[in-house]
Amino acid sequence: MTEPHDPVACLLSALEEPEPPQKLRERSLARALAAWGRPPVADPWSHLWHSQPLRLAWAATVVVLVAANVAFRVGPYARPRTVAPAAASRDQAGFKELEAIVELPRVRPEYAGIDAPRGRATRLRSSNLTTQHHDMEDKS
Amino acid sequence: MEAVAPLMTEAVPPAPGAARTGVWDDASAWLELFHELAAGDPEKLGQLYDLASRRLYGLALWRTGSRELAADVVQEVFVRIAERREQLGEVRDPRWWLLSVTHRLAIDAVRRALRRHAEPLDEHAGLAAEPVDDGRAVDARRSWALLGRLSAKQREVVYLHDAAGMSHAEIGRCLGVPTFTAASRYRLALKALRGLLRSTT
Repeated sequence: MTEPHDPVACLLSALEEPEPPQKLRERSLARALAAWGRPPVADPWSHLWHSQPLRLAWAATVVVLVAANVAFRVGPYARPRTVAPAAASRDQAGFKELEAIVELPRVRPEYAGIDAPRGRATRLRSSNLTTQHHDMEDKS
Repeated sequence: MEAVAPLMTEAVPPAPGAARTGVWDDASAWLELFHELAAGDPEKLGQLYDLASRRLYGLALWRTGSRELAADVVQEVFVRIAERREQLGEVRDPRWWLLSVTHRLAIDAVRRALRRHAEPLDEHAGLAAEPVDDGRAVDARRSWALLGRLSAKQREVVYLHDAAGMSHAEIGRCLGVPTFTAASRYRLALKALRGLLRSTT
């Protein structure tokens, strides 16, 4: 029983860095030395940082954006808040019925999660029952 | 196997990560070299070429798939070094800076040459498939053809991992992608290679 042969591993184990062409050294160094004689190119970010007009323009843009944000949120140009259709229907008849249907049981205090500590649900339910009982007594 | 012989004789004895010499890993030597260049010593360009050219050329070649474009990229990297010489002193790790610049310039070169016919990868020398055992030697030309069918991103990651001996974290740093992305690309490349090998056998 021979060890399983992985051709990919065999292929990858043979990879090596290729040798650059012989004349590339001369060409690269010649071009680099030619560029060395020219004035150095400034980094655009450092140009942005060291140029006063660009810095002023940058600061002005930030100020305008902040002012516009404030004006459109709380200022005289603030848009009225839109009301969602569901919230708008609160005043309509039948909303209470709809609310009762869609109410999630887990948000009711008398329901506890299944992962709640033992006794909590019982306590909650019993306290609720007691309250209901007192309510009934009061009514009677 | 006749096709394999010339490639194997041309190539330097293969060893994954063999190019990771002590010089490449010595960050302080690179920093010193970059500081000397930033100080205005153009004589150091030759030293930099001798140290970095092989890895930079390999990365450009595997990314572009063209020897011509790869040579252009290496030249462009050295022009960039000369043009930005004043900022070289601020580079934290020259090795990753050089590889990142090469990576970006290679992408640009491929974009520029999209309409031109690129030289197929399987014509390049520089990959040797050394027979691990006599009966199961991998044909170097076939391997080139298979690697050429990977996407440029996958090929680049395979090169950096298996030829340059870099870790996924180093590859991610070089390519400007998260380590996970680099590892994922490598894994997908291996999967694709396995599929290609199965389909051709």
